[in-house]
Amino acid sequence: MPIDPQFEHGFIEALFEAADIGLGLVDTDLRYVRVNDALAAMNGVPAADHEGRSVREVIPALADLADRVLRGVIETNQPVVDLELSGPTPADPGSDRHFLVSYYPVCDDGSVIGVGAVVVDVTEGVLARRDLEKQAREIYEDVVQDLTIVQLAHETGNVAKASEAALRALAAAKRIASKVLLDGDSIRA
Amino acid sequence: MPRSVLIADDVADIRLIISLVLADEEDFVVVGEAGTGLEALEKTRELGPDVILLDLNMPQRNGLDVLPDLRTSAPHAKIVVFSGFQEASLGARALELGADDYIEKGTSVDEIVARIRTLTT
Repeated sequence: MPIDPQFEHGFIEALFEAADIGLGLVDTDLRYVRVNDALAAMNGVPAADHEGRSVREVIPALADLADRVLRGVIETNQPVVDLELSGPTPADPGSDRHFLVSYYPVCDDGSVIGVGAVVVDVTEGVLARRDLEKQAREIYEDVVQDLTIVQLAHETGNVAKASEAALRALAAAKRIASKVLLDGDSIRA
Repeated sequence: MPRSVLIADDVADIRLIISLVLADEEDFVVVGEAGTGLEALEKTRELGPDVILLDLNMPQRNGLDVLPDLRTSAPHAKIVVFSGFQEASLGARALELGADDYIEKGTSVDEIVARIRTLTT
């Protein structure tokens, strides 16, 4: 059943404005045609101020990689999905933000006329994972030391030292396992 | 004449156990211990050991950082790096910086003693 064009247009407009992920459209000169409020907030520039400005003007710290990938999408008419972009934006110029970005070619009559962008801010997750990895690394180093003591003490018959070190190593292993379970995250080896 | 050994590791229990192991070997005598890289360098200059057993993960100058200075201060000493970091690249780097051998923690005490003995005979 064909969809009423007015209904379809209204639906897309509502989705574009209401989405809490960043949505945007750039032309083949890599100038913003339109962005939604979510992407405007991520970039730290009002939505209206994006229009006609280049990606490089709006988010200069991310533009080197973004421009290269956007040009690739335009030239190949192939999407790029889940690209990781990191760097400061006018919304947060003092620290790096981390985004997961997908670019899709927008075509008219078979020719690419622009690129649509879907942007998710994954900064909190990245920072949490890094913090967990740092803690895991520190605990791992302690566990390695204690396991060395267990091994050496065991071989030399020093049961007391071996037991003490084994208990410490197990306690450390329990700490990191608890963190992983409670934070619902995983630690890369 | 027994070979003098300096044990440099930030974990006191590891220093203690290795000291006890070497105390049972007639051809070795532990002359000093160090808990930091800086202390390892000071003790090397003070004691002039024949063997330095050196952990890589130490505060106040880690093992890789202090290795070149240890080599300069004790050109004839055998430096055995003893480390828990299971990365082959660290062992290779330690050898480039002047270590004579690299032993991973987890190696049996018998083999540790055997490898130190091989280096010093």
